[in-house]
Order: sequence, then structure tokens, then C-alpha cells
Amino acid sequence: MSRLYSTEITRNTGLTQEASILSCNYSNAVNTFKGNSVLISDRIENQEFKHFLQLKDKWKSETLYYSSSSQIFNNSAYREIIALGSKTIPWIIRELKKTNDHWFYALKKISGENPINPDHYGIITKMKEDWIEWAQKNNY
Amino acid sequence: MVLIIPEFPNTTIDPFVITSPQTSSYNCIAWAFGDNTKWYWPDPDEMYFWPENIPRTIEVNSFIELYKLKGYEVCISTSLEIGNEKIAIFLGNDGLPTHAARQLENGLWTSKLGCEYDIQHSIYSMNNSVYGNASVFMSRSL
Repeated sequence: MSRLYSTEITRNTGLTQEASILSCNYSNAVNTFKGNSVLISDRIENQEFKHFLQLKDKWKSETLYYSSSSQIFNNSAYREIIALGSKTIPWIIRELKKTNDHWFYALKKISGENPINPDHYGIITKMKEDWIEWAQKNNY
Repeated sequence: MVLIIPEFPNTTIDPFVITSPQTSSYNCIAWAFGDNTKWYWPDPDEMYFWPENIPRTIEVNSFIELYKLKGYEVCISTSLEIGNEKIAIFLGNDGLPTHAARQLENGLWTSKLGCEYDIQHSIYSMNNSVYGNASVFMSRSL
């Protein structure tokens, strides 16, 4: 049966077959509306973006003093951002345009690509330019 | 501006002094020999710069080889020696390199704190910290 929302009244009694069908159809209608609603999908994206920002701030504060790639890239908040997947790419690119934060490993893992020119390894501004150029070519 | 950071407990007695603006363009390994243009680290994913002729492994010998390339040789003393420039490599509790610092003409040391700023400090203020302790010292003629 589809998930019931809090707007529905639930009863501690068994449902008849007819009532079960009605309940299922109602929940499916709500899900369909939710999927097509720009307002609701925007709201969900805003919540996800806020979550990304919280993870970003956590990563930065926990890795402020590190030079080691393993400490920077294996940070739990950074890993959570990677796990959020490709929807974070435009958000990361936006961050990259504003700062020189080390998003390169995350972008590589999420996109499966590495557009960095080998001559640019370690030159943070150049690595950043390589990824911003990649993002433009890929319509991010 | 002085800096007292919980990750560096000895700064409560001997604080760091900030000596530059914040930047994430270079790290301590580079700053130890005066390079502020690149981030040096032998990461397996090849995100960062590491000289081709030095093993790309995160172990102390690789870092010693890096600094030998820059003219340093391993030494024992941390004492200030006129005409010589010293660096210190910090090792964590696992024996792996974490940080490097360079000695200044006044006997204090300069470090780049991760993605933050350059600081001036003593070896004591940085020991017993998230960087571990200063364990390997190297010297080169100026």
C-alpha cells in the first residue's frame, strides 16, 4: 500500500477491500501531485541544498589545518557529500567559483571524470579553472 | 594576531602568531622550502603536486627525498645556525608525515596551517598536537 500522509485520518480498525483501494488511490494521487509540483520539488531541493551547505561547513571546519589528502578527502562530511551524488555538482561548482576549496576529489568521484591537466596538479587555481571549464562544457 | 587552537594544546602557553592572509593555494610541505604556489602531497589520486622522481608514497622517506631535492640534508640539532636554514618534519602517532615547518632567522619557525594562514611559532607550541611531533630535522646552506 502507498505511504499515508499525516493529512489522512488513520483508524485502528481493519479496512474493507473498497476502503483499502480508496486509500491506495488517494496516496498515489498525492505522490503524483508531489512529483509534478514545482513548489514541492523546489522545496525538497532547497532542503537538500541546505543539507549540502551544512556538510560543507562541517568538512571545512574539521579539515582546516590538514595538508594530508587522506584527512581532507576521507572526512566524513566530505564523504557524505560525495554520497549525495550528481545533484551536488552544480552546488560544488558554484562553491568552487567563489573559493579555492579543494573540491577536486569529490568532483572526480561524483562525475567519474577528471578534466585536470596533469601540468596543473597542485596548482589550485588552475585545477579550479579546469573543473569550471568542464562544468561549462557539460552544462552545469 | 595570536592564535590559540584546541587542536594544538601547547598554544595555550605559547600561542601562534598569524603572519599572512588565509589561502588554500599552498600547504605546509611547500611553504617549508618557501614555495607558495603549489600544494605538495604524494596522494595516490594525483590531485596534488609531487615530483616525478620521488616515490609518490605517504611515508617519511619520500618527504626526506623531497627536501633533499631542495638541498636539505638530515641533521640532529634544532639550534639556530647562522648561514643554515632548517626545516622540521612532523610525524603523527602512526609515524606518517603530517606537517613541515621552516626555521626563521630569529630562531622561531614558520608554518602554513592547512588551508588557513602562515604562522610564526616555536617547535614546542606545535608539538603534541594533531600534527604529532617534530621528528625529523634537515638543514641546508643559505
